[in-house]
Amino acid sequence: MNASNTDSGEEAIRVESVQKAFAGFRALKDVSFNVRNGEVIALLGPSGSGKSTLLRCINRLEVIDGGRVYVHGQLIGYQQRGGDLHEMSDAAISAQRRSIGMVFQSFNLFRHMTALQNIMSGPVFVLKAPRAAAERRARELLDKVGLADKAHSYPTELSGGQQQRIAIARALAMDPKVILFDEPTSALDPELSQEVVAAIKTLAEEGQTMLIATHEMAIAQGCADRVLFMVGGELVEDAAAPEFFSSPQHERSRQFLARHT
Amino acid sequence: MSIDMAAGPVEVRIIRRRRWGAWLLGAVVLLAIAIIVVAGARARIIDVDVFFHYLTSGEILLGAWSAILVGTVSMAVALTGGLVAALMRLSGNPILSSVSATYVYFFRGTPMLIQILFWYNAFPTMFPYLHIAIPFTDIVVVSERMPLVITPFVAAVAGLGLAEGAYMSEIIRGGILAVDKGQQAAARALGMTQSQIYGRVVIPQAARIIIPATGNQYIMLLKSTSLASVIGFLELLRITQGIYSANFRVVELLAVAAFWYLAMAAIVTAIQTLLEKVFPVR
Ligand SMILES: Nc1ncnc2c1ncn2[C@@H]1O[C@H](COP(=O)(O)OP(=O)(O)O)[C@@H](O)[C@H]1O
Ligand SMILES: [Mg+2]
Repeated sequence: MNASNTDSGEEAIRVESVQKAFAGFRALKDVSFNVRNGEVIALLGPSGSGKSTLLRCINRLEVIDGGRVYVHGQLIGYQQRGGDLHEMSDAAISAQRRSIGMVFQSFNLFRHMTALQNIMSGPVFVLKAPRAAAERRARELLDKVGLADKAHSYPTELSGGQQQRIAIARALAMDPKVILFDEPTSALDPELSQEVVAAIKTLAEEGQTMLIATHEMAIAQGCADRVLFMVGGELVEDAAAPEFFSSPQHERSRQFLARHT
Repeated sequence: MSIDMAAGPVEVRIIRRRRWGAWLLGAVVLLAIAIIVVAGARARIIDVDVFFHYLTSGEILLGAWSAILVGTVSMAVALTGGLVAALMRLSGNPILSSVSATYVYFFRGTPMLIQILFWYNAFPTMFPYLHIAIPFTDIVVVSERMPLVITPFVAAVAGLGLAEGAYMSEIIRGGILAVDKGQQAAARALGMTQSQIYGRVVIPQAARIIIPATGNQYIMLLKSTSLASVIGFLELLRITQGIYSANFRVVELLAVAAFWYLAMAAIVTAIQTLLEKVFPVR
């Protein structure tokens, strides 16, 4: 599914020995993995295993306690000078986040903005793109997620599935190098989640690099190149998707698959 | 069952039950009001000509204008101070946060009247001279005896504005906290800076929650300008009292004052309604 991307094979995300604790509770214990350009990764694991925390550490919504995160070769949050890592300014960290899209379980569309304004918000406020160009691009993206007629609807006027597709379009408007999905279908009815799964599938076919925490097997089995399986803050399995589903190595992976398929 | 199912569609009338109790209660209240109005008119409790004479007299209009001026300038001070205090409180910086909490505690916890007296009477004796200069230059911004700086107007605005700012800071903080945390996370993930997150996402949504309470506070503040009469500020109530202590038309003059306070309240209510349309519930 990493068909057309020209620089596929290059590294999109590198997570090295990442540690994260909340008041002494170790939510991530020494997690390491790589994501190549154009790869689609399903991040699986029981609830509370640290999937959300891991995603939030990649775009530094959470500050890690140890280890390093690179996105497209750029160290996130720090600048290496000599042997030391200097923490970046807030402005520099914000700039790094521009190329990392994120889609949330609860959509988090800006409630005071229409669908169109939501999609334009990143380009206009963050990238300072000209309004006309941003609107043209936003309308293309609305069309792409099948919601061209909802441009002027507010989030409360949209179904959950529609809101999530707008949220995907909002992330895409920044032309992110990678998109992090935190259980994008978990708040949706099975029927509505199909629309979102279809949107993610389209992106996968286009070679968009994605890291998707999910319980939705249609995403994990239908789109993912690789599966990362987490338990209790540890990455216990990192395997190509077909292998993971046909012969899971870890005991917990087998139990998990037995329950979810 | 006696219903004939084969009879075809019959026009069924719906007879609403009569709300006798509600009608009766309404009638009693109207009657009571009518009795009071008639009794008042018979007793000539208010001389309408005198009322209208003073309603638009120069002195009274000046008083109403000062109430609007002091009330509005104080509200501007309160909104600015309240926003700064709320952001300090939410900043996560322990020093800023506790300074803000202390400000709110003192200025919300003491009577406005005492604060007005403090700024007018106590403050200039504590700091008799105001000298503001830009360090390392010869430029002097102000150099003046404090009693000349702290006019009744300045003292009234300081007293009302800073006390009201403490209330506003809590109202604004409550509004900000009521905005779902996910909104900030989404804005941050897009790469917005902290000021963009507040300016573009949080404050516009908090506004909807803040506006009704602010309208309330603004009306209260306009009425509280009457407190400034204690420091000799010529505001509506003091002017009214001055007139009726000479001509004993107490009822008419108090009615005139009440009329203008009600007019201000009506204007604020209109502004509030307008702002609620600009920031609708979503
Ligand atoms: N902000 C936080 N404060 C305290 N504990 C947290 C916080 N965020 C997550 N945790 C804890 O970290 C663990 C992992 O959480 P999370 O990453 O949300 O798991 P998942 O997304 O896999 O369900 C959980 O035990 C959770 O309670
Ligand atoms: Mg989660």
